[in-house]
Amino acid sequence: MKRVLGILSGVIFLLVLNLTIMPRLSSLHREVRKESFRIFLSPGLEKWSSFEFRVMKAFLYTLNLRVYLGKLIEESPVFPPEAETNIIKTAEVVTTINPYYYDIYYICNGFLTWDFNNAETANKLLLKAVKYRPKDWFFYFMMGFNYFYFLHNYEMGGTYIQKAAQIRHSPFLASLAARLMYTSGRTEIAIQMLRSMIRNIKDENWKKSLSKRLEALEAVLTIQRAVEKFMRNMGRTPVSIEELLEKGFLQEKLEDPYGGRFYIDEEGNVKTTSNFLPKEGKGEIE
Amino acid sequence: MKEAFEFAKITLRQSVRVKSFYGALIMTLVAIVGLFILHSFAMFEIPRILMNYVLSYTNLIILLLVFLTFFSLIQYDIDKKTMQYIVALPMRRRDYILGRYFGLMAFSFIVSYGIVILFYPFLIILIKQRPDAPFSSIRYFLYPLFLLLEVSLISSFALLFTTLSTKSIISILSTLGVYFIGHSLDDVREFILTGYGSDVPLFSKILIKTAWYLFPNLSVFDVKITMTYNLRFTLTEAFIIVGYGILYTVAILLITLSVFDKKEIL
Repeated sequence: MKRVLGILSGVIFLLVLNLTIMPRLSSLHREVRKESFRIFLSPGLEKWSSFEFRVMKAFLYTLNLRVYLGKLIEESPVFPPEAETNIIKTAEVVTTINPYYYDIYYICNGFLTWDFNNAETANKLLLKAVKYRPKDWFFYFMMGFNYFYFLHNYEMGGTYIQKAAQIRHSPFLASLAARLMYTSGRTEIAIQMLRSMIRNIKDENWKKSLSKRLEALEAVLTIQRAVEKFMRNMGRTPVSIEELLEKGFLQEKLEDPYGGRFYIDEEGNVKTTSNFLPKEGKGEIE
Repeated sequence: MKEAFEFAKITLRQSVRVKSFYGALIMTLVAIVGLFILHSFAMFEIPRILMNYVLSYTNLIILLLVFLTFFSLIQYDIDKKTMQYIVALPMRRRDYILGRYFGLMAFSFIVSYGIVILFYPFLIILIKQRPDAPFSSIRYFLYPLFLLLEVSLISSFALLFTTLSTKSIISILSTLGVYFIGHSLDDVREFILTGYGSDVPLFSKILIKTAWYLFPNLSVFDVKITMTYNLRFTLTEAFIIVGYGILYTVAILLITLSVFDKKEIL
């Protein structure tokens, strides 16, 4: 009986201790941790000291970063500059410990691009991701998106989204890559890529959708070649498609399958009023 | 050999009676609760994180148990003067070493597979809720085999150090040393081979390279990432690892047996 009472009083004492002192101690500890975040050793040393528990260590460090960023979001809508360094440092360490870990790439890419406008570093990190997980389409897609949206590099954007489309066998991504390549002036590559995708697709609806895009790009290429020939012969940019038709550089008037109208801009680039997007209300995924 | 197996049975029975075994049982129950907590914290690829958690836990608990059980048994033998009784018995000395080794391995086998089997239904329930990454049951149940190879090597080293030294603390520290060196040598060697290692003195480089050839490379048995991330793992690779583990263990055990056969026990 005495033993049971002893154990019970011990448990009660621990509970009282936890309820009275622990909250204060815990908040103090949180303050200290917020100030210093986590002082990392070099990535190599962190990997070395993980021994057999690399995945779990990477998980804990990532969780720590998530908690840290979550608290910063709660406190202020604008991140302090040191947060960027902390994200990059954590990413370096975690991807050295476990380069296969999906979450760290996802989190760091999200924060570095949208909150710190640092798409270059995000893409460097994603390069590591594709090195270790070459079959994961989403990393290629994120890289392509960063190039396109943040860095305005349509050519690279198209290249990476094309790679994502190949891995995922996704006509939607292929279509997107084709648009980016068209925007970057690489219409011929976009056409080749679409042709290869159409050959490999079994789904008839997707095939139809990609064929439409191919038709549009082929029309652009035909007009573009006529424009180039016109410029070589006449030494100037043609005013309109009609001028190409009148002077015999273009055999027939080509239609935009998306319902738009082709035109030539001041620099001689062929564009369309539809911007290769289906008219609203059709519910078509391109 | 019959005596060795009898001694292995005794070791197994003694191992189950060691208090740390019950501590491990309670820890396992707590770890199952941890599995559910982890499930709510993970963002993506839940099956991979959960599987790795179970395998890491199995790894940790087996290492702790082997260390604690082995050295408490040795302490027991020293305290109760079992060694002296064994020497007096009409059995070969090597049967004691082999019995201890096989008993400990049987104990590790039961505990490691016990843990992964215990966790399996919970793992499946949680994975089915968010199956956002592939999960291979074959790889899950294959991992403990590689862990057991590592345990086999560590146990044989522990036996060797116990045979060589008179104090159990020395053998504990030496075995721990082999564990840490075995897991870090590969990384250290990689470091000195890269550009960063250019500042390392030549003597240290030679020392590291010698140690690399001398000590077992325990990191080869850590196939958790390979299993969790479904990385390429051929049969040839598996056979090389298994062969390496068995050959190294046999070599260490042979050295231990020859030392123990000639050891003076007073």
